[in-house]
Amino acid sequence: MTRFWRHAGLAAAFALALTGCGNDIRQSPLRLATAAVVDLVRPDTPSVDARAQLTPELIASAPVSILLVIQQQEDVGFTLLANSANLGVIEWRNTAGQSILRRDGIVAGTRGFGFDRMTTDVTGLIRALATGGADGVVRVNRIIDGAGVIEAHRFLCNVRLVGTETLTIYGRSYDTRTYTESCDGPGGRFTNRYWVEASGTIRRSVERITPELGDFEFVRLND
Amino acid sequence: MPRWTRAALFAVTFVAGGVAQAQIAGVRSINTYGVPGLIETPSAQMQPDAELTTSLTLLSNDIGRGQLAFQILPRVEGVFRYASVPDFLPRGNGEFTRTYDRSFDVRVQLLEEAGWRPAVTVGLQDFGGTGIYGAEYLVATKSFGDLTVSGGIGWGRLGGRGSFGNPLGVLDDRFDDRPGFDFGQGGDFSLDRLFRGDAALFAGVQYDVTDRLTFKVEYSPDEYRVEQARGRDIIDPETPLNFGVDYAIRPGIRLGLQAIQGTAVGLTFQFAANPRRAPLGSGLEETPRPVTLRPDFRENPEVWSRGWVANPAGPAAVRTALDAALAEADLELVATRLDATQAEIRFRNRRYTTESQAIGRAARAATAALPPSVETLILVPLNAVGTAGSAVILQRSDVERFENAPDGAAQILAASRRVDAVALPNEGLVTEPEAYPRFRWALGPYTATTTFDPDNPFRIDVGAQLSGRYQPAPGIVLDGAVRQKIAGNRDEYDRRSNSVLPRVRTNTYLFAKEDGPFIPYLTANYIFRPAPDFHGRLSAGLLETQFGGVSAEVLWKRDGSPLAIGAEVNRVRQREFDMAFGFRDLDATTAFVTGYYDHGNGFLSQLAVGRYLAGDEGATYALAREFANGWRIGAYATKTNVSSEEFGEGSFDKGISLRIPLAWMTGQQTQTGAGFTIQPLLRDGGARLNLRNRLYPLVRDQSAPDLSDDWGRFWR
Repeated sequence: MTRFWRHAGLAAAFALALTGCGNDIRQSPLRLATAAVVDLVRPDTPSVDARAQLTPELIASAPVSILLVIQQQEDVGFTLLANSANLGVIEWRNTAGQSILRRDGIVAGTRGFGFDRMTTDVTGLIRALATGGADGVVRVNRIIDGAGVIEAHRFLCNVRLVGTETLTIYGRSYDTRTYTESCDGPGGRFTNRYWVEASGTIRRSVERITPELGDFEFVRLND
Repeated sequence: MPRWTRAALFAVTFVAGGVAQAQIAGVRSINTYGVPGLIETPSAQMQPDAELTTSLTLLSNDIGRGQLAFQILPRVEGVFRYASVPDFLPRGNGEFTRTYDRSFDVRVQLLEEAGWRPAVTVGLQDFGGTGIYGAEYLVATKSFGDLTVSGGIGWGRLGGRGSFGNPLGVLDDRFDDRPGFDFGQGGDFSLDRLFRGDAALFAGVQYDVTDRLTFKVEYSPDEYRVEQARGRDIIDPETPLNFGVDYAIRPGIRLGLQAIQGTAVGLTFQFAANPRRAPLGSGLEETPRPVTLRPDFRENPEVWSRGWVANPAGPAAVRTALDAALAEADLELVATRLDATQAEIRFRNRRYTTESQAIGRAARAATAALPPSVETLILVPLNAVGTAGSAVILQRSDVERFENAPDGAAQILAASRRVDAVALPNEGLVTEPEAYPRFRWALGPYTATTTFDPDNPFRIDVGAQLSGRYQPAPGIVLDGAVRQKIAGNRDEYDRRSNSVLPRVRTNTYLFAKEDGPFIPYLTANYIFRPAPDFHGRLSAGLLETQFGGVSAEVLWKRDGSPLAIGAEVNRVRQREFDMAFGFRDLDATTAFVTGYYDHGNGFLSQLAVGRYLAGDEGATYALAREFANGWRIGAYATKTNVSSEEFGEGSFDKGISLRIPLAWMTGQQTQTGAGFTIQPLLRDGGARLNLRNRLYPLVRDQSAPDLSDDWGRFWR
């Protein structure tokens, strides 16, 4: 009996220990690893795709700018709200802590998605879109590689005006000119697409973020 | 990203490292010895840089081999092997018993494959062990689309079947004969056998049927002489031809099946991991607070007023705001020195893997809390015990300007300055009331492992640990822990020590037999900055599980210098095996001078010269490859004035260390990692104290080059 209770006590102590308590529990690798695994296998709260929730009325009544993002690889749609601006770059952010940085409507960086793009030099692309297209436009994407070091990927891109299109987005129509940006470089080959209004506003775009994250589609819902 | 996606990403790509294709580019199929090759013979191919290949081969004749291979440089690979061979060691009565053997390989690619030129590699197999698998080779490999052809010349184990006189004999007669196999103590680098004796040729081809399926066939010169010598009957080769098939189950996970010498069947598992292929990229931590911009001075000059300093409540309100902003970034404000134009902010980072990310987040928090008149930010990250290293000085306008600049990380680094925080004035520094005294405690699990001992490759104890840490002031730390083992098998090791040296480590198994609660450590520490570029430490108490006493250390480390030099002296006594407060009658005084040198590109050398626990004198050299994400893979060797015979099995102390950061695996920022050392044999020669607070690992992140090398995460 003594032996039984000893083992029962030890098992209880271990269960308690695995749960972890105190004001310094973050440092235990076993507890952290256990928590990570539990977090991964725990049933997720079903999240509703933003595309199923958005309505023209909801968009019209929104007091802030909204960006619809569709992560094409996962076919997941979610919205981001304009959070801050600094020297021409607007940070769009959601409550999960993810964000997209856009300069003149073009992705300049991402945060919180894992295989993020840290920064982009899109000066040449902005100029090309404003002047009806150009060849040999330089784009530099910077990422933090798996080892934690900044890696710059330089691409040469051809920006072409390919036509016009009237977009209908939740009941509103927008006349746009469509551009493709075909890029080639040591970091791969991809084609982005932009739907640009006469004012210069990029109403919609499909842009490669990183090879691992694939293409994101962006739709500016208001403003 | 939805949780199921993260789970799937994690599960599928933990080993593979975040790739979607059937195979990872550049990862080579291995032979049964864990290196790129066919079945028993190697190829000249190399794995991708920094590849860590874990493999296990099980043969039908009950031979097992586990290997850990690391691509140290793009053209240099190192291997540690643990083998289990049945019926090998003679008992003396005509019977044999199983042996567990540890060995090392190194391979160097002399030529890369290019055009019509094949790759050429020279390799030493089992050169640092007993020599059971000892072989040397020169091999060439050429790929023709999906067909890869390899051929080479081998010595030792690869110089058996069809052998001929050593061509190197034309250089020196000593190459003609290979000294006999001598099991001995093992562990010596058998330089007198390298490329000696008869040589033989080997060749083979592999064909990639698909990007997952590979067929292999080879001619092997290995006659398994060792396995048949002295009456052993482990394997009886019937043919020199070996056949194999290899299938990639998932990216980074391969399964191989081999028919060996017409008499055995083998199964090989290959697991690929690479510090450069993080399963979740650069991390999933939340977006930082953006830089808060100040209003334009010309439009709002009154907001830029310096009057807040004179306001009795002004600085206190700023400190409160700063505390809150830093807390939002998971940083702890410890002390501040504020004036109208500059702010010194001392903070503690207990979350972020790199100091640069913590500094970046602290800078953004500062822009949210400080009045516009403050232009200069002096950010001082404190280490775990509360002492400072370098202070990073930033201009607030640079923080505002470079936040979203395409090359913002490099630009903010170029615009920053660093000074030793010791040089900063203490006058006006206000310590937060809750910063000290500080008490932290935790109840959690612990594990203790023993790897690759002579009877078992892996032993582990698991249990509960109650730990506490009290800091009455910066640099003063009283810490301790109590552990209770719940389950484990470390106590099953029962080889009585035969050491002729003072038994400073060979009694480890007696400590592992303790079933009751025990104290792994209980110490009082004073860590301080005696002068610019210098760090000091005094410790006393139960310093580690096996020794208690006093310890003193001083370290010179200048910001920006790749070199650091430390000196330590310890006077200790061995603890009782119950790891309570008692001591045994075994005293030791150890002292070392240690040089640390950062070679750049992630390579760190460490050379310690001095007196070890058993009274022996000598040196320990350690070389590690480190990655900015916290991965660390290293090897060390210690040679002292103890002879191989006095040292015992293994001949001298050596080992491999590995640390994998948890953040790399989970994508969440944490400073915690899983680390272990593979020390093939625990002997008394070359033994050092396992001190918890050695200065170099404690302070190295607080100054360049470590601080600036990791700067890419500043804007993360």
